[in-house]
Amino acid sequence: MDDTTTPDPTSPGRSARRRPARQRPAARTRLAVTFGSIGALAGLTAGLALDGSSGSTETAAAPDPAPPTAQEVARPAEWDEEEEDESWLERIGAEVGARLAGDEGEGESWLERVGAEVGERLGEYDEDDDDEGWGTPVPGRSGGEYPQTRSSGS
Amino acid sequence: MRESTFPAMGSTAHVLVVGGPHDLLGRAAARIEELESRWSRFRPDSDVSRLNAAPPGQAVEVAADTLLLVTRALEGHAVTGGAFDPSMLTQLVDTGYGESLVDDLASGGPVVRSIGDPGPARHGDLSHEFVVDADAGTVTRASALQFDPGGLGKGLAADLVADDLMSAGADGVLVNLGGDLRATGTGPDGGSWHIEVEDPRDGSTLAVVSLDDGALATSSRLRRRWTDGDGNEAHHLLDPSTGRAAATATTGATVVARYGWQAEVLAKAAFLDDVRPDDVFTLVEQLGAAALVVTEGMVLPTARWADFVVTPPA
Repeated sequence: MDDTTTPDPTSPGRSARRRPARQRPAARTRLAVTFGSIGALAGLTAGLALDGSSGSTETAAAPDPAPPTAQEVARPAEWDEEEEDESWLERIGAEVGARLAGDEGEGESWLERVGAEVGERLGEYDEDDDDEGWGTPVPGRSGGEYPQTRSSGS
Repeated sequence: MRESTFPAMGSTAHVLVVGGPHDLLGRAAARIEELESRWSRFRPDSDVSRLNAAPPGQAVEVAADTLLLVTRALEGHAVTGGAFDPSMLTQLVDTGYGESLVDDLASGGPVVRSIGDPGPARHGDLSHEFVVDADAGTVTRASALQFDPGGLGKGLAADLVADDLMSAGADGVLVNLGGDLRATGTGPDGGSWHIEVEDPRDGSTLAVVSLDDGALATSSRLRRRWTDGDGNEAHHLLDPSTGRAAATATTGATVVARYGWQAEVLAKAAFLDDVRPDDVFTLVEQLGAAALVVTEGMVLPTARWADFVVTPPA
């Protein structure tokens, strides 16, 4: 029937409905941006510390502080989405800077450890987001044998 | 192209194969029978029947296929917000579907069965109700809820059989199990796969869908239906919010998706659309699928449906 080949004008209300219950692209994007920001801040802070403009090589003998886990650096859940980003980043940046200042000579390995943990957790998050990756069907072409089978419902 | 048609899973199987070894049709029939023997709730020794017969809390060892079946059913429940619900076997039996019905009864005389009022389904996360332990190869029911894959079994079976035949050397395969089908690879004469979609209102051809790789499923309340002695009618598509056969103006819903089990899940959700406070058209589109819902007076396609429809030659 021809009316199946074009969108039905009688169905304007069938849009902008709820989103899938388990889709969380916004949350994942926010998380990725967050950790990306951490990395940028850490790199910036490390650069400042190593060129002497900030921090001190004299603190190199200080005990190696334990690297923060991803949970420790993760943004508290109660913080609102947009408003607190800057202050949160400032706090994390300060923490990263302080740890780097006390971790001279091992800063790179510390960053690697944190990075590996963050990467692992992001990977787990991706695996859990299993309603993505459903794939999309590939339309065929006209021509050839019509039809080859029939779908009459079950 | 070779093809065969035979009864399977309470409906008719239609398998089409292009290229490959000559024993592929027999291989498909054997695999479909194997899956039915594991998944049918009408066979007491199936994995599904053993799971439902076991006391709550007891792990039941099942085949890897069945682990996948339960996993996909739980995923379908989650992604549709419960519209597809594999935990409604009790309601289905109380409504009158305790014994097998085959497709062709829809066009035969009325089936008379007692129609009860079992109450709504439970809501929430079913992964705590049907616990899959992939390492141990077991499924455990946490409570008295019983598992029923419904039409998802046909869609997933079509996926598994099609993949198996392609792995065995076929150039192209279409596996149709009672209207739930998967098509992949090269179609006949090097072209695409073309599927006729039946109009649930009068049995005419509603559309012809063309696929190079994908799946299609149709849910219709005009199949597997029955009546009680007082003339009340029921069918097999239950509304989880009531536990009864969905009272809806929708007569059928067809979905095109990448895989058969996905198409079946979304077709069920699309069928229930107008009896729920929200609908699934947005969900269908977000998941890359397309749908066509038929009511008694309208035909409602999603935006992408037209991409799959072709006009047959005159």
